[in-house]
Amino acid sequence: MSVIADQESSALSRLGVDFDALYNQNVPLMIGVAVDRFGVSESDAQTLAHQVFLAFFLKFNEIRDVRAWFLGAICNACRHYLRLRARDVELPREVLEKADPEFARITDSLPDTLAGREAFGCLTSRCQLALRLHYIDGYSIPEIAAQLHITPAYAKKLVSRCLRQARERYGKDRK
Amino acid sequence: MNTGLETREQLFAVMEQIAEEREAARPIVRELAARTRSIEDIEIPEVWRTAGMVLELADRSFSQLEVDPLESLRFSQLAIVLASNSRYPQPVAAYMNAYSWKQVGYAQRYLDAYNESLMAFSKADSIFSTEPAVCHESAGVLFARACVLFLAQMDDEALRITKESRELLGGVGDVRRQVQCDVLIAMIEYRRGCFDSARERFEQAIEKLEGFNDSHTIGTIYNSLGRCYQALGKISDARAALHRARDIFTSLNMPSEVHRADWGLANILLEAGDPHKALSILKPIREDYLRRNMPEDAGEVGLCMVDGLIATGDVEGARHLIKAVLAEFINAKLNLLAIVAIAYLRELDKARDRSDSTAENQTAAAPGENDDKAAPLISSLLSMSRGDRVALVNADWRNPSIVRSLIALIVQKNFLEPKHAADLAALAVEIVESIDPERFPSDGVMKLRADAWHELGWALYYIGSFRESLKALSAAEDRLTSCEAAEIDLARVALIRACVYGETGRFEEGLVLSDSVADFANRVGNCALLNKALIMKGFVLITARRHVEALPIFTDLAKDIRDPHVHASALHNAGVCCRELLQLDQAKALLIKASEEYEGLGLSTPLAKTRWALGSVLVQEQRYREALDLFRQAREEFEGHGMAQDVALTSIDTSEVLLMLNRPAEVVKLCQSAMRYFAAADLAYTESAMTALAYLKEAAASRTLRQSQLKRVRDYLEVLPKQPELLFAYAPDPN
Repeated sequence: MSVIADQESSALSRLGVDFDALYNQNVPLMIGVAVDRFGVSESDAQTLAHQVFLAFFLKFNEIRDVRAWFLGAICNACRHYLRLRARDVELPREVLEKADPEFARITDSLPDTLAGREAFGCLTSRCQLALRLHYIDGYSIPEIAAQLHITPAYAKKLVSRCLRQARERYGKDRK
Repeated sequence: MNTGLETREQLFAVMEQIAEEREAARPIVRELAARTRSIEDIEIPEVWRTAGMVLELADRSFSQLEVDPLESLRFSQLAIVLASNSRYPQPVAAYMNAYSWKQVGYAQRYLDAYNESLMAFSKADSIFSTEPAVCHESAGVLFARACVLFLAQMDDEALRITKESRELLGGVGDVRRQVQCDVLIAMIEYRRGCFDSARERFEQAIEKLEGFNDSHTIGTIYNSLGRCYQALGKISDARAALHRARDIFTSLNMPSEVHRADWGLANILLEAGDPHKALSILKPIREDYLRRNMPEDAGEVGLCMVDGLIATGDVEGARHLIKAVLAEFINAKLNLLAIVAIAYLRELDKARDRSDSTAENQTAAAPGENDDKAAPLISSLLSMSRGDRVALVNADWRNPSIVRSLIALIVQKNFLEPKHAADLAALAVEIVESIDPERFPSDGVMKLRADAWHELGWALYYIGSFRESLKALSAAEDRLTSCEAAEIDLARVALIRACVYGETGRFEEGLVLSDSVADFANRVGNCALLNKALIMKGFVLITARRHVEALPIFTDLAKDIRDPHVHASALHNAGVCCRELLQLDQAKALLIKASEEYEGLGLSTPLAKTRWALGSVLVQEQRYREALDLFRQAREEFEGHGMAQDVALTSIDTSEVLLMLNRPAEVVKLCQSAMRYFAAADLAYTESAMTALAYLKEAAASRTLRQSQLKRVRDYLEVLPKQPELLFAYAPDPN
């Protein structure tokens, strides 16, 4: 039974690809490969296969040999998954009783994070990009200039102008 | 794993959501594309922050690469902003983010901004590789990186990454992109001159791609194959391949690739001796590349046009065009290509010199003009890593024009940045020795080899590598004697040899050489060469401590003010002679005058030497604090220019003064700093110099340092560059 068979007008069906059929042909195969060849547990194998299927959906136009692609992709995904799992260390039982250290100062940090996100969101696209490159991705001013195809002097001005814009607009929104 | 994708229903719900978002995003993106104003300063509504919008923007960016790379960049950058604000289960979030960066990488590549493109691809790669379901996308990004490295002329790295990417693509069964890897390997082979093997690989790639309906790659192969056939002399095959490429790209509506095919056809016309027709094809291509912000392609087409203009006799037109191309390359930081443009300009200047020997004023102005334009370029060239510089040799750079341009740069840099001048001279030697002499006029290459070795000899002498300098000078003499060289070239090499002999204690040989050059200069009436020979003679006399004989030579030379460099040098040396003869007032006056002249000429290292000499005079007058300041300035200058021996000797002189002032703690710091400098310099005698300095440091730390010890170390360091294997012997402990 197809999940979207009844939804004639769904956006997915309008893409002109029978994803249901592709799912039925390839996802069980991928789960089998993950479990049998790589020893991944069945539930994790299913999630991995779904993730690969979603990745396929995001670029299905570019893929020619679908079966080969699914097989290659699930093998790579399993290898990557096992590499990550190999680094896991079992935690002691009593850890369950303790709070997650990540949230230890959540009451202090969360308002700042939210404020930062809001301030970012009310900027123009160019300002968001400039501040993101500088403060999140760690680009220097000359690197921002090169990435945006502007002069370093202008890039410097842009970053400070955008910071000012963030302060003004965020302050205005709060009022 | 808890990802929100555990069940089939969850998976299809996410897919449906994204498909809906894409439908909603399409008209918005179309509207943005139709805007007459830039999309950079738009306010972003909350409803845009969807995966569908990001994917549509990135796709729009990809579709505009050919038509308008700058617009393509703006769309991909907007996609990045939106991708970073969206919340979706993995791998969607990672995919959106990395996919946007990948499009930025493509757009920057089309804009010839290779560094920025590589940075964007690295970012995409790092995001893709964090998620299991999309980690295989790294292979595609790796291939895209290899393409950019190829365009940036970094063939070795491009080849390595292409092979790695090919293997990874095999892992996901992507045969089509594996063939694309083969095509890139063939392009590298073509560039390295392996035309037959490249042709074979291109032809095989076309066969392999038959079932794939990949017209773009097939068109690219035909374009490259056309050039390959042309290089192999198969002109009709070349023409057919280029026409095939043209047809394919026309049907794909890819104008810049159509231009590339036309450019190849114009090259064939140029070779066939039809420059007028070639120019009529090339002109609109260049204009279109410029309009679309593609300076590298525009400039390269421009240089082809220069060949056409010269063939039609329009030399002035060619000159104007090269200047325009040079400015474009410099603005776009395309340094290597800018050097090619300078080489063209110099060739043209030389041709004009030959054809119009009466227009002296005009030709005198031209090199200065070129040098001004070369200035920003030189600093870029000097900031390149050695690997990048050596990549020049791997690229299609084996021609005399490049070497001549490099030599011109070395001459400029000799006194300003001697260490860099030595590096550049080594590069010039590397390139010129790889040029096949039979491809160029009879003695041209041998003479050029001699020039490159000559420059290397001088640069090595200047930074204190005397033994290596003598080897380079011998190589220069060998090349000169194997061609019909002018005697003046041999005389110039002999002068540097005299200098090195002076420094290495072979005074008599140095004096004989400088006298013989002076005789030759007198015979042919060459005043400039005569002055240089006299300076060398005086210099050898100074190093032999025969100051009484040296002083009148420099005093006479200082009367001639025609050449400001010679004049400043004569004043400096006369000052040094006076200092040694204890005529301290006279010495100070001469050295101050010399330092003013060097400052005016902007020659920083001779200026540092003059300050050092003046500092020594002040020490003799017991004006220690002023001397310390001059020594510090000189030492910093030497450090900045990689002049290791001078750093060591100024450090000793400074230590001596510090000891006089009873400040031994500072001697310790000074020795430590000098040792760090030597460790970084990694010279043949680094270890020995460090041992000697460590000895001083220990003595100063234990407050047992004496003037005699300083003198011993100073003498040792003076000899060390001449005898790098000489070991430092500790003095017996007086206690």
